[in-house]
Amino acid sequence: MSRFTTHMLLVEGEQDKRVIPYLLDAHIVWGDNKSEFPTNIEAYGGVDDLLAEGEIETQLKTPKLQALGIIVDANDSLDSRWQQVRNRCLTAFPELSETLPREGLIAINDDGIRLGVWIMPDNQTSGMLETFLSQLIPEEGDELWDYTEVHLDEGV
Amino acid sequence: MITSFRIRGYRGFDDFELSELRQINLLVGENNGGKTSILEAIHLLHSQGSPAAFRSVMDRRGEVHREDNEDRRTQTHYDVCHLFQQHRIAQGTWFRLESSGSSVNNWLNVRVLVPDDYEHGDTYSTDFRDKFDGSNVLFFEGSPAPVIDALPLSPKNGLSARQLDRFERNVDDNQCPVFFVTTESQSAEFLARHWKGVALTEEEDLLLEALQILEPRVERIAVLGERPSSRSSKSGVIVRLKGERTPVPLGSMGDGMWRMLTLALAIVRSRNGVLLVDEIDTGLHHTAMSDMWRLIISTAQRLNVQVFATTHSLDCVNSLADVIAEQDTPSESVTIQRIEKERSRSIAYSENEMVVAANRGTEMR
Repeated sequence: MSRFTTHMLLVEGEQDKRVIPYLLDAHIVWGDNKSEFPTNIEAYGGVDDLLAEGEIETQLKTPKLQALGIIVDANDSLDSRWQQVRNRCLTAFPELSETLPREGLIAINDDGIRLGVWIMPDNQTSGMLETFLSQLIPEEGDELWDYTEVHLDEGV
Repeated sequence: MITSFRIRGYRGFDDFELSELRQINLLVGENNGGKTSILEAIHLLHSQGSPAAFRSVMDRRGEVHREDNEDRRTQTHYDVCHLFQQHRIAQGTWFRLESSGSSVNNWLNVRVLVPDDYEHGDTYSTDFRDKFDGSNVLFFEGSPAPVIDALPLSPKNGLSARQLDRFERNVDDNQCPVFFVTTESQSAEFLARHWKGVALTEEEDLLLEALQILEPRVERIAVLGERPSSRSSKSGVIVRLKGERTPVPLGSMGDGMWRMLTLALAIVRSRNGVLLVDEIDTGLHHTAMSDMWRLIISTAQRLNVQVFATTHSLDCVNSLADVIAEQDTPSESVTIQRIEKERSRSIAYSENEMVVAANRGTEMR
């Protein structure tokens, strides 16, 4: 069976769906067509849509599912975001810890399903995918970054 | 109403449980995954282990063989061994079915006894020794008490059809209405038999309504109760169509019409009981399925029928979700349950989860 149907990654929206494969591509072979992708990325219409009652629960019930990943932004509060995600997963993963591990969550339940959760930017602070991406840029000397910062400031 | 159901040692199931059961339960899952076995198990348990139920379960699967008896007459025997997970009859082989409900818990235990078990000691009725004379025996226990307590097996471990016949005559099948609709079309004789209980009652309108889902021109139905001709099992049911001068045989109108009438009759005859339908989408075009579900759901609620149905069809699953989504408030009277034999529990979808999964296109089957 193609990993496409056994491995799922849930993200907030279409932009995340486009960025994340580039990040993953640096670590794992991505493949050229859908059947070779290491995971199927499902984009929602925003974080509220992803966290609506029943969405994560039904993804976790997908036949033959082996692994489900969830990437969401912490925005203003990491703790409340983690609680929201955790509540959606508790039926399938009753033993999830109250706090999100700083290296992100990887859990396995009795059915052998793996659950991964990463809350942007780093499972520790508030922020979002963009915060995480900005941290990938070297501290000094990136011309495009410097140029963008300056011109954005001017715009503001 | 059955809220949970546990199967141990029956057919492919070692120990399997369905929970969070509702008034309407749609069972999904891969081929050979045990969906029909679950319907059978509910049938056996809720007919109190009736010989007729055992017989129909094995008839449907073709689990019969011919065997010569002592006076060299060939007789039909049922291969009961296949009801057990091990597919064999041996000392200590058993299966057990249990259901919990809002008011009552039922269970049925079927065990193989070999002569060693009943010839010594006093665990079993003392007359077993005289009655069964060295045969292997199927022993029934349960609550409510099973219709029969023990049946002897033939030398080849078959259950003689004649034995079952004898018991069937003593059993009132209507005690606990449980109705099994198979994928095969029911005979005209079946329709005629059950039509009698419906004709000229308010439920007759329901049958008309069912047929009108597929053919709005149907105005009246008549079941003539004739002996079906030898060439056709579908003679004897006619309908009047708007604008047509002569009645039309239902059999000439396509399998879906016959199926709809069967479903409607079956649910009416299951009042205050259980309706089991194998592959409920059989013969129905996807455009008819939403109406079929509306009819099943509203009738089940009105007549207090608990429905267990199976399907492989995506249209069937999605149309059920669509009908649920139409409701203003969730009634929590419907669930989809996926059966995966390798697990110990079914995967249950609530009404909200069914709607969410159908909208997103998340696979439930």
